[in-house]
Amino acid sequence: MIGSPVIWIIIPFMAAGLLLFVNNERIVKISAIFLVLCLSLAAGFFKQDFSITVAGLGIKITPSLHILGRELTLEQSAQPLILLIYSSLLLWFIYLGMFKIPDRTIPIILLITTTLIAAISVKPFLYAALLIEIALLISVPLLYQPESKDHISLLRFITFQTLAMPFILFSGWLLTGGSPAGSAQSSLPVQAASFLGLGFVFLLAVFPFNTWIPMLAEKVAPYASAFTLFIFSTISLIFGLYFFDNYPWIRESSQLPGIIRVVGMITIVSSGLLVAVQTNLKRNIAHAILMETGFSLLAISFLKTGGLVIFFVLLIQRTITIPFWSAAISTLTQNNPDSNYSSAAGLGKRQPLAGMLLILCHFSIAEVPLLAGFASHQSIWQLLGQTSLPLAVWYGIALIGYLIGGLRSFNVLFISGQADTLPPAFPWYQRLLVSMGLLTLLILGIFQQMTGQLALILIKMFKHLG
Amino acid sequence: MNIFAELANWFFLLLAISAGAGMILIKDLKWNLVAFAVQYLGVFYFIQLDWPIRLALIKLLGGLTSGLILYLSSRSVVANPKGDLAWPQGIFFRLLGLGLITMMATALTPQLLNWLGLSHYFGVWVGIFLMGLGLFQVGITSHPLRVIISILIILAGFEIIYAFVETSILVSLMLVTINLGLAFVGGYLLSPANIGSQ
Repeated sequence: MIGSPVIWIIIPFMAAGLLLFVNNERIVKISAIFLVLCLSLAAGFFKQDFSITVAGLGIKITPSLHILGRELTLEQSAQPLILLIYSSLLLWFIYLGMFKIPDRTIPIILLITTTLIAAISVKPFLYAALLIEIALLISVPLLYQPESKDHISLLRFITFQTLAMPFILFSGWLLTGGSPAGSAQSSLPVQAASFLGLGFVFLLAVFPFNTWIPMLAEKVAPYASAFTLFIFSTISLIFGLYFFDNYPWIRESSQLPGIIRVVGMITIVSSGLLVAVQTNLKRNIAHAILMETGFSLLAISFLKTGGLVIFFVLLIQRTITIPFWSAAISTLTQNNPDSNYSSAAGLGKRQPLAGMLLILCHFSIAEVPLLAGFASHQSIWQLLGQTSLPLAVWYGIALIGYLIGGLRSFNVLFISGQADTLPPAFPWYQRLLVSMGLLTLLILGIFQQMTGQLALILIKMFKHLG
Repeated sequence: MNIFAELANWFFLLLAISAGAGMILIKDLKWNLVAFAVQYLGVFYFIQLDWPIRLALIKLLGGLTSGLILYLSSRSVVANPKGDLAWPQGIFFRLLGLGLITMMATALTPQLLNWLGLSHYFGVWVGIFLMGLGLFQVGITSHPLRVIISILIILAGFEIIYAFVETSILVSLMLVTINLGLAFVGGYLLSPANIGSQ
C-alpha cells in the first residue's frame, strides 16, 4: 500500500533534495518540469483506494500516511487542489526556465511547496503551524539577495511569520481538548478564537503587520517575492478554512464573519489606496497580493451565502495572474533591474507585450470587465452591498485607488519616456510566454464559468463547508 | 513548596532578568550570545519542572547549539555593529524598557495562570518576561544577529509556557528543529557579502 502523501509530498520533497546537488541548471529545470508535470497528471487522473498490479507487484493507493504517530492525509476530494498547486508550479517553472536565475532556485521552490502541502494535510493540524515555519526557513535562501545590503524586509518577514506560530499552537492546544482546570468552559471559545485570530493576523500579514511585503517585493527578484507571497498567503488561507470546517462553533459564530469582513476591508482599503501613490512596479504586485488576501477574507466572511465558491474562484485566478504578472516584470526589468517609475519610463514601448500583460494583470484585480477577475470581485461587491453600504462604498474607494495605480503604471510604461527606434530582441520563448499570459487572462475573462466549474469541484475538499 | 525549590525558582528568575538586562544593555555581540546561553539555563530549569529531565535537556542542548551556531557565524562580524543608532545614548530607554517588561510580566502572569489553569508562577513569569524582552529587542534593532537572537528568545519564552500545557515529544522536537533552523538562517544572513553593511 502506498499513501497518497508519498506521491505528492515525499517523492517531490526527496527529488528536490537531490536536485539541490545537481550543478547543471538545464538538467535541474527539465527534471523539475517533468516531475511536476507527472505529479499534476497523477493528481488529475489517479483514483485512490484502487489497486494496480505492476510486474506482479500489487500497489494500492490509500489516502493516509502515518509518520511518528501522526498522519498526513490527502483524500480524493483534495486532489483537485493538489492538481491546481502543481499545475501552478509547472507554470512557475516554465516561466523561471526562460530567465537567468540563481542556482538552486527551482529545488528550493519545490521544497517550499511540498512542505506547505504537508502543512495542509497533516493531522492533527496544529502541526501545520510548525510546518509553515519550516517552509519559511527554507524560503530564506530564495529571498536573500547578496547584492542588496538591506535585509530589513527579509528579517521582518521571518519575525512576523514566526510570531504567528506560538499563537496558533496555543489555539490548537485549546481546540484539541486542552481544558484548563481553573478557567470557565464558557470562556474557552473566546480564548481559542483570540489566539487563533492573532496568529492569522501575523500569518496573513493583515494591516498593520504588512509593511514588510512591499519592502520585500522591491528588494528581491520578482519571481522570488511573488512566489513566496503567493504560496504562503494561499496555504495560510486554506489552513484557516480548515478551522471553519472542523469546528462548528467557529462556523456558526454570529460575530466572527463581521470581524473577518472588517479585517478584510481594512487590508483591501489600505493596499488599494497605497497602490495609488506607489512609484515602483514591483511594489504594485505586492499590494495586489495583499488586496487578494483581503478579497479572500471577504469571501470567507460570506461562507453561508456562497463565499466558498468565490474564494476558490479567486484562488484559481490568483494562481494564474501572479506568475504572469511576475513574468511581465521580469521581462521588462531584465536589462534594467531598477523598477522605480523614474527608471522604468517607456519600458512598455520597448517591450509592448510584456507591458500590456503587466497592465492587464493589474486591471484584472481591479475588476475591469472582460478580464479574469471581474466576476468574482463583482460578486463580493454585491454581497457586501447587500450587507453593509458603508463597507461597499469603502470597497469602491479601494478599487478606485487601485485603478489609479494601474493607470499610473500604464502612463509610466507607455506614455512617458523615450521609445527606442527598434525594440530589443528578447527571446521568442519569452514573447510566447507573455502572449500566452495575455490570451489566458482574456479567455478566463470571457469564459468565467470555467473557473466557476473548477471551484465547485474544489469546495468538495471540505466536509462541512462544501 | 520546600525552601530549596523556592530558592531555586528565585535564583533562575533573577538569572533570567540579569541575562535579559545584559542582552539589552551590552553592545558586544559576543556577550549577547553569552547572555543568551545563560538564559537558556533558566529555560531548562523551568521546563524540567513539568517534563522529564532528559526531554528538558533536549531543549537545553538545542538552545545552546543555536547559540554556538550564531557565535561561530558572528566571528567574522564586527563586535560592535553600527546598525543600532540609539546606542549608547539609548541606555536609559533600554533600562526603562526592561523595567516596563518586568512590570508587564508581573501584571500578566496571574491572568495567564488563570486562563491556562496553571500553577507555575515563576515559570510563566519568566516565559512572559522572555517573550516581552524578545519583542522589545526585535522592535529596536535591524542587525540580523540581534533579530535572530530576539526571535529565539521569544520562542524560548513561549516554549516554557507551552511546556506546561503540551507534553508532545514530536512538537518539542520540531520546535528544537525550528530553533536550529533559525540559528542557521542567522548564520546564512551573516555571510561575508553582508559584512559591509554592519
